[in-house]
Amino acid sequence: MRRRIVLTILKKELLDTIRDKRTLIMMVGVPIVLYPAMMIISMQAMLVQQTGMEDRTSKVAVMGEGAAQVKTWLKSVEKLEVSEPGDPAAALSSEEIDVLVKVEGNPEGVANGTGNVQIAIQFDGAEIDSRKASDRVEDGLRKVSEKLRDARLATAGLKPDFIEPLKLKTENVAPATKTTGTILGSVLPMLLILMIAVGAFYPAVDVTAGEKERGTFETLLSTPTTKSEIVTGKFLTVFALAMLVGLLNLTSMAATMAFMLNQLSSQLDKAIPVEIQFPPMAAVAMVLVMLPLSFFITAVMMCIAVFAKSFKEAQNYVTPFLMVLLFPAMLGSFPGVELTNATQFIPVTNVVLLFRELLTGSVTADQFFSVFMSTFAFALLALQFASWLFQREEVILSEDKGFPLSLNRKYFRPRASMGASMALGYFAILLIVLFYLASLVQQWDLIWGLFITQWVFLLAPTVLLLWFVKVDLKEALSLRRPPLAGLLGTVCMAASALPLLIQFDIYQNKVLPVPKEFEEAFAQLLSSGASNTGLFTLLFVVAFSPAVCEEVVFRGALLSGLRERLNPWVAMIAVGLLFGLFHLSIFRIVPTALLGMVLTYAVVRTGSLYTGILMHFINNAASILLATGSVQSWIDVSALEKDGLPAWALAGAAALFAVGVILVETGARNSRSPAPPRPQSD
Amino acid sequence: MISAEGLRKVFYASRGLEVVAVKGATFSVDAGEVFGLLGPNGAGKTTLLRMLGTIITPTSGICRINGQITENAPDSIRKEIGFLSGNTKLYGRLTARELLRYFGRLYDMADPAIAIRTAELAELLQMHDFLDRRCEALSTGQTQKVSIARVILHDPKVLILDEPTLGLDIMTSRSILDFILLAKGRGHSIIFSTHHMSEADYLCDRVGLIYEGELMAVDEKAALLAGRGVNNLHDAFLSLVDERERQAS
Repeated sequence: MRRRIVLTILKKELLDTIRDKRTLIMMVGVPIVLYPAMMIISMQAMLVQQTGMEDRTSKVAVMGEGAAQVKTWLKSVEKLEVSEPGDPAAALSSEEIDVLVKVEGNPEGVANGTGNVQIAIQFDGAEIDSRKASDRVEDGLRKVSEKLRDARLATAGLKPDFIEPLKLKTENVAPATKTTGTILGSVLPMLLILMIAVGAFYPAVDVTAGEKERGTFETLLSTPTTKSEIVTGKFLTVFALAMLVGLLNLTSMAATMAFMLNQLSSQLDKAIPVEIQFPPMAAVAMVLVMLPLSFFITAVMMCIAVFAKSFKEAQNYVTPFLMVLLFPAMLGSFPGVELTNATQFIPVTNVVLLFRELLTGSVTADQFFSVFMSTFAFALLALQFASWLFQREEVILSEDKGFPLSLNRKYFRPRASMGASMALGYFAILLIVLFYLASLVQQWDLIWGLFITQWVFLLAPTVLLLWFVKVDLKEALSLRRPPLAGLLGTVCMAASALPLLIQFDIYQNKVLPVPKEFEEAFAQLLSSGASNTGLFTLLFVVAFSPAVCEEVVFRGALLSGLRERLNPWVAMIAVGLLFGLFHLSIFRIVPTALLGMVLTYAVVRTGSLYTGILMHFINNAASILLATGSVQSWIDVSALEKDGLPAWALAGAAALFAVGVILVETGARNSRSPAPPRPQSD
Repeated sequence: MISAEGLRKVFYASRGLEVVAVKGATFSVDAGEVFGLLGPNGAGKTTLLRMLGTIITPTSGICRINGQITENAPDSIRKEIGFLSGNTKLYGRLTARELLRYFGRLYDMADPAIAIRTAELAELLQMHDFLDRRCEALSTGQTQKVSIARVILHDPKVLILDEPTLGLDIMTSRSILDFILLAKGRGHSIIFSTHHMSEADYLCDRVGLIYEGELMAVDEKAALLAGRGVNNLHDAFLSLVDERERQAS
C-alpha cells in the first residue's frame, strides 16, 4: 500500500464530501443548530410548567362525619384550598379537585387528647398536580399529628424523645462526581455512540453506494490503485468525519447543557446541586477508546453500504444497523451489568461499560487495555471484510435486484430466488417475529405454540413471500428428487451427526457451561410434552414440523437467495451461521450452526431439499427419543453426559459421516441436476 | 499491444444459472493499430473490454497487455492502459482541473508533470473554457472531452474505448475520432467498440464482430467484406448474424 495514494484518495474524498450540501447539513447543521434549539425550547417549556405547578393552589375535598375538624386543620396548610363538590369521588376523577380526604371515624376526641382516627388520602397518581396536592395534604396533617402527639406526651409528663429510642440518620458519602458519574455514565456513552454513528452514516454511504450511483466507481477502478488503497483512503475519510462529527456533537451538547444549567439556576434562584466534573484522565481514556470504536462503526457501515447500488438504498440498509448498534449500547447501560472477563469482549457493550466505570472512577489498566484491544481487533476484522468486499467485482459492479421498488405484483419479473439482500432482510424480520410473537404463543401453550411458530410464522410467510415476488418455488426450494446415493449418504450423515454433536456439546459444556435451569427446562419440555400429549404428537411438533418448515426457510428461501451473491461454499457457512443465530440461544449457536452447515451441504450437493428435511427430521426425532427416555433401556444417557462417548463410538460415527459425504458426492456427480457453480477463482 | 486468448466470462445469476457473457474471444491489437469491436447492445462488448481493462477478471483465458499477463499484476498494468466506457463517469463535485490532478496522482505522476500535461491536453481537446468548472455543470460533449483527457493523461500505450462517441453531436464525435487517429499515428494500440458501422469504416484497420457473447469474425476490413461478398460493414454484420441464426435453427 502506497501512503501517497491513500492520502490522495483521502484528500479528494474529504473535498468531495465537504462540497456536498446534503451531507454537510446532516453532519454539521444538525448538531450545531438543531440540538441546542430543541433542547433550549423544551427546557423553557419545562421551566414554565414547573414554576406554574409550584404556584398553583391545590383543591381538596373532605368526606366523612368528622370532616369539619379535618377541614379546619387543612385550612392552615399553605397553597391548599378546601372546596365542596357535590360528588367528591367524581370530582377527583374529573380533576375538579386534586385530592380527596376521607375521614374514617370521629376526630373530635383526638383533638381533645384521646383516641385516634384514620384518614385516607386519595389522589390520582397519573396527574402531577394531584401528586403534589397529596404531598401537601400529607405534610400538613402529619404536622398536626405531631403537634397533637407532643401535647399528649406533655400531658403524661414525657418528652418527645421518649417514643424515639433510636434516632436514625442516613448519609450519602458518595462524592458528587460519583453520583453525576453514574448518571452521566449511563447516558453519555449511548449518546456518544449514536453521535459517531450519525457522523459516519452519510460519508460511509456517500463514498460507497453514492459513488456507485454516480457511476464513478469504474473510473476509479481503471487506475493503477489497489483495492486496499481505495478502501483505506475511503475508510480514513469516513473515520475522520465520524470522529469530527462525534466530537462536534459532544461539544455542542455539552455547551447546550452548560447553558441550560446556568439558566436553570438563575431562574430557580438557587444553585443546581449537580456537580459536572470530569476526571481529566477519564476524558483522555474516553477519547482513546473512541478511536477504535469509530473505527469499528465506520468499517461495518461501509461493509453494509457497499452492497447498495444507490444512496437511498444504502440508507435503507444502514438505518437498521443504527438500531442494532443501540442494543449492545443499551445492554451496557443496564444497572448490574459490569465490566467482567466476559463482557469486556462484547463489542460496543464493553465500551459503554468502560465509559461508565471511567466516570465513576473504578477502572484498572488491564480492563482498559482489553476493551481497547478487543474493540480494535473487531474493527480490524470489519475493515478486512470491507477490503474483501471491495475485491469482489460482483459486489462493486453488481446490479442486484434487491427489494422490488414497486409493490404491485403485476410489475414483478419472475425470478429464480429472492436474492441476497432480500434474504438477509427477511431473516432479520423472522428473527424479530420469533423473538416477540413466537415466545408469546409458546407461553400461552407450548405444544400449540411450537406448532404455530413453525407452520404459521415460518412456513406460511416464506411461501407467501416467494409467491408474491414471483419466485419459482420448485427452483428456489430445490423441490427435486434426490439421487439415490445422495439420499443414502444423507441418512448416514444424519445418523452420525447426532453422536458427534452430543460429543461437541460435552466439550462446549466445559468451556461454556449451560446453566442447570436451562438444561432442566429443556428436558422438562420434552418429557412433560411427551406425557401430556403423547410421543407421536411430540414427534410431529418438535421433529417433523421444524424439519419441513425450517428447511423451507433456510435451505430453501435463504440459501437460494444468498447463492445469488455467494459461491456455494461461502453460502453453506453463511446459512449455517444464520441457522445457529436463529435459535436465539448462546448455548445452541455453535452446535446448531454446525448442524446447519451440514444440512446446507447435503441440500446443495444433492440438489434436493428433501434430503435436508430427512436429515433434520432424523436429528430432531433422535434427540427427542433420547431426551424423553424412550430408548433409555439401551443407551445410558446420564453416563454419556458425564464421560462423553467412548472413542470407538466416535470413530465409528466419524467413519459413517465420511461414508455419507462420499455417497452424497457420488450422487452429486452422477445426478442430472445441474451441479452448483464452482467457486470463482479470484 | 493487446492480445486475448480464449477470454471467457461467466456470471452466476442464481442457483447454478450461468450466464456466459463472453464465449472465448481470441484476437490481438498491434501497436499503431485501431481495432473495432462491433456488435449490438448486450452482445458482450462491454464485458470483453472490461476484462481487457482489468476491471473484471476473466473466468478463463489469458489476456496480455504489452506482453504482460493481466491477471498477474492487474494493478500495475493499469498504468499502461487508458480505459473509457459509459460507466466511467466523472466526479461531479470536482472541477475538470482538480479531476485531472486527482487522476494524475493516482497514476503516480508528479504535480508539475500533471500541470504541464493538463495544459497540453486543454490545448489538444480545446478545453480552456471549462477547465475550472465543476464537472456536474459540463455539457455532454465537454464531459466526454474531460473523460478523454482523463484517459490519456498518463500517456498510456493501450487505449480501450467503449463507445466513446455515444450520445455526442457530429462535431464532437468527429473531434474524438480524429483524436483516435492521432493516437494511432503515435503508435498506440487502440481497441474501441461501437455500433456505428460508419465510425468503424472510418477508423479501423481490423474489426471483430461480436454477437451474443461470441466473437464471430476477426479480420482485416477489406478481407471481411470480400469474404462475405458485401461492400460495407453493415451488410457484413447482418449476413454473419443471419448465417448464425440459420445454423442455430
